[in-house]
Amino acid sequence: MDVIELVQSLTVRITMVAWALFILSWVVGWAIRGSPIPLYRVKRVGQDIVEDAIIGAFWLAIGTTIFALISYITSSIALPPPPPPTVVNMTTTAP
Amino acid sequence: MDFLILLAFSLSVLTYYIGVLIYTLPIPWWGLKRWAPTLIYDSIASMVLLFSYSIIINLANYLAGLFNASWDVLINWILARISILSTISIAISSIIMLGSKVILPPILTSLAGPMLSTIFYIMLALQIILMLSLVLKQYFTKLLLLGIVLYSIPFRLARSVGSGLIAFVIIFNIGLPLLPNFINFIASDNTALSNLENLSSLSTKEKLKEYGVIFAYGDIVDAQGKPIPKALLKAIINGETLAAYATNDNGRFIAGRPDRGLPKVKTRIIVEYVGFTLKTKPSEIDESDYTYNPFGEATAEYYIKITVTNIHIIDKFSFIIVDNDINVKALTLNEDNIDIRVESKSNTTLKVILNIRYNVTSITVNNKTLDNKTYRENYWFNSLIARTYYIPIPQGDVKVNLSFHIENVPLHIKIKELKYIERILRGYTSLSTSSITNVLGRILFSWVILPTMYLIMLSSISYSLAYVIGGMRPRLPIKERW
Repeated sequence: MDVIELVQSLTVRITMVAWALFILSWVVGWAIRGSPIPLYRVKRVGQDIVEDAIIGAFWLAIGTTIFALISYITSSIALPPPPPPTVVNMTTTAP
Repeated sequence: MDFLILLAFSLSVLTYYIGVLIYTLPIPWWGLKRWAPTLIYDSIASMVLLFSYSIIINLANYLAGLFNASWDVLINWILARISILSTISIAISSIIMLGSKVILPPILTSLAGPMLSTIFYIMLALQIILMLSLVLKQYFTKLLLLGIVLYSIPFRLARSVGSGLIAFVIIFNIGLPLLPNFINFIASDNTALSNLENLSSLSTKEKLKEYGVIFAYGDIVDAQGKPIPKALLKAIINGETLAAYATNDNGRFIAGRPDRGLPKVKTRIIVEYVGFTLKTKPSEIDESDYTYNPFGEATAEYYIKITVTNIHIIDKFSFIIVDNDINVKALTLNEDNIDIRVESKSNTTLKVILNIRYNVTSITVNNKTLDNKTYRENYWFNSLIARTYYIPIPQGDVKVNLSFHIENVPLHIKIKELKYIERILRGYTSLSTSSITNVLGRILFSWVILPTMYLIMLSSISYSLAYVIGGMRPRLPIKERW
């Protein structure tokens, strides 16, 4: 596996984890915010977690869109790769 | 190339998603959360850099074109200097190798070592600049992309290195080809260059290497084996006289140390006497004609005897020229006359050369006095030194008698010698410590100190540009909470 594949697979996993964490944060945030604890600071933490989760999801969506767009544009304007070399007049013998 | 672009892009994307991941973490930890906007910002910055990389290349080339910066000019400039220095160092080192046989001007021997090492360091400095230029010329885009890849690594691990590399590549691509202009602007190195070329009298050095040197002494004698005083022996190769040595009053010449010597290879030799060029035996000599005899003279160890076949010596600068028709049977020098008995095969003319002290009063041939004395004055090295008497003689045994009285005139002549090694090293003898150090100092300044200064300037600019590219703090909004 070369470096680029490694980085790309890492990126895919991180994206999945990020989406999962968004849902988790959303849940945890709301859970803390809606918990019957009469402590304002605790409820505040819950709200912040929910806010960050939303900001994260926003950047996630934006990023995915933009990167997809970039990939699409570059792959569509990139020159097609040259055809593989063909060997002319080569005789092969069976082993 | 594509690999690096793709890698840089993938790393940027990874950085971005790591940033987003940190955003979405349900952990209320400010120290960690602070990384989220930083990483997002970094990823966007590196992507901008990546997508503008062809703009950067074109801009750098455009700016280089504006300043007339050309890699070829720089590389030719460096190569010319390196080749000059290397020929000089070869010349100096070959002279040092010859030093065991030849005594060089002391100034050269004492300075040869420091000169060689100085030249070596100058060449080293030029080679380093040359390498740098070649690397930059060849790998400009690759280095730029490598810088962008390093810049894109998450968590700013190699961000400063990446921005430094990008700035270095841009600045040096524009600035380094302008090095010759900078040096010419500060101190024109043309004078140093011409002085340096004078320093190496290369053609003469080649001759010494090709012809070799032998330190010899020898005797020049006439057909009877009598030494010829004050004769001039000339060594000639390819029509060029390389050495000329005069004999002393005993007919001995010394081509010894330190600055004389003779060529080792096959050399044509002639003997010049009172303006006459005389036949010698052997007429060509090389190494094998010498005999090893180190006890004859202090400064030379090879001996050679050279016979001049067509004269009979009478006195200093006085002799009879013989040819195939004339055979000298007896020759007596008395107090007031010279008695010559010759055998002549035909009616011919006997040439008797007498130096200016001999004032000939009468000439008799077979006891008959000649009515008129025909003679010619012989000038040698711009001094009247002798007179040639032309005496007509009949066939058969002839008795010639020349009566004279001695005049007390000084026999002054300044025979001009040509010293073989001195002639070859003449270019070096004019050298003095101050002239050598002057030249070396100039080139050291022009080719080492000024380029170093220039490289430091470029590095400093690169550093500042690197700060511009990678040194800014992210300004994405994040609330300071918790």
